[in-house]
Amino acid sequence: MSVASRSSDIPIQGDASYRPDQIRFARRAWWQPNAALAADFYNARYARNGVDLALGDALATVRSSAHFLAGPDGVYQSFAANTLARITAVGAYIGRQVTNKCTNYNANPTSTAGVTKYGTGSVLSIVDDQAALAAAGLQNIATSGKVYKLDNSAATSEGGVMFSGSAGNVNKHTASVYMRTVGGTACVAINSSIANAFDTYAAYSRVAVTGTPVDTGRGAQIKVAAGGTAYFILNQLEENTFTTPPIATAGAAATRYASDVQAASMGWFNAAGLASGGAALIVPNYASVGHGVSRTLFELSDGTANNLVRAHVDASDKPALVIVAGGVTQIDTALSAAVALGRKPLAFGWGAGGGYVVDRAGNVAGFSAITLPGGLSMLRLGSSVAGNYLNAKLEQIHICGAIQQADGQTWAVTA
Amino acid sequence: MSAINTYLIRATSPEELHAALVAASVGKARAFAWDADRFDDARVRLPYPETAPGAADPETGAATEVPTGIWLCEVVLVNEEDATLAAMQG
Repeated sequence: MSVASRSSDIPIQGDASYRPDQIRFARRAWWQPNAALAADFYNARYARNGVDLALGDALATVRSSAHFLAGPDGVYQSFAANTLARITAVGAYIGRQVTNKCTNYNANPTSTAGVTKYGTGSVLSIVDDQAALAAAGLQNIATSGKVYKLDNSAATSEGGVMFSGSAGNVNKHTASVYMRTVGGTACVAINSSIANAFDTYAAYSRVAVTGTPVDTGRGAQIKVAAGGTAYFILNQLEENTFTTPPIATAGAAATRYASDVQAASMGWFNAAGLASGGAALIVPNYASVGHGVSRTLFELSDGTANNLVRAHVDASDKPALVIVAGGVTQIDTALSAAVALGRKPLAFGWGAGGGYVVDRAGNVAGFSAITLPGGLSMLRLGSSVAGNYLNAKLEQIHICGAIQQADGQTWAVTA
Repeated sequence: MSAINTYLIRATSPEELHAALVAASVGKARAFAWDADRFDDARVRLPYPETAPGAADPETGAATEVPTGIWLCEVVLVNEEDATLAAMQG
């Protein structure tokens, strides 16, 4: 029997009906049509030009420190250095470098060193609180089960603690702590006037406040109202307007380095013809907005700022596409609508004839003919050559050949 | 288990630290610093002021810290050693 006359459900090369793309997409097309590189962090699936592959073969991560990330059950998991912080049903967290400026033992304390009590009648101690920590998903960070306790139940005035480690500058900082209270209220502060409202916390909750330290020597603080008791752990002082995942300290400030996530190779890029234009379908998931800085979704570049295609939300949280060719900005176009919290599917298209940015709600920003950048040889996910990071979770991204604007919007609605 | 090598670099300013790391990057596959002010923030802790114990906080009595005038940064390498950085450590 000749190959041409063989009957089969699976057409083979040489058959008149042989259409490999149709077969591929009909049977197992979790990636989007035309996808040259697809990463579905939410479902742990990765592919390049229609071939499934392992995460490590698709993307390379550089980060010289461990990283904690909470799973869908709220339990924090630990990721080793140079390992992407990714969890199924959550996505990947890609963030900038952050230092926890507190210098006490904020996880697994064995003494109260670095924690200074104030207030008459309050008692500071280390106690076991393993069950409550586990209920809050903190057992993989606070592995000893030990926490700080400030008992202010017998006092007639406010008490509290100061954590060692100061802001060091007067840029905006966020102080946070995991805390639960018994018999009274408490709050977190940046010593000492920047504080959130006193409240009760039946279970460990991350309590945070953001503000500008009045001088460089200010640090994180907890205040406990008279009659109350607070249990607390994982205090953090970071130079941010938002909280990031916990950073454990052990008697000194500790840094979680930036996550540099790049395509492990770039041969697929030219093979797919993307040098002459393309599209990107992306699902970021924002836990906070209003950062006031650009937050990169992806960037294709020649390794410099002179030739690049960058999708990001700008300093006003508006999804935008920037294209620079030969050092000249060709387009910097943003939607009129800013992203809010949660999953925000976005589609971007670009080519010499123009392109678009579109979101799920149908907001569109278009542009006309431009000069395309040359020499694109690097794909970063969640960061840019200028050092602007996503600081959020990325659920999935598909770098594709050309996709019409209407199809991009259809995808955004259904993603 | 990864081997973590930390190199603490000291200088009198962030600019001096940047220049030192640019120089240390010559011939390396991945630079520690480049352009006017960019550091490899995936491996280099951004410059920060060295501090020493200061006067007690007037409100709480807690210890405070004051800058010494020296700036620090740390280069942290995973499963990698760098003789140039080792020689630069003060």
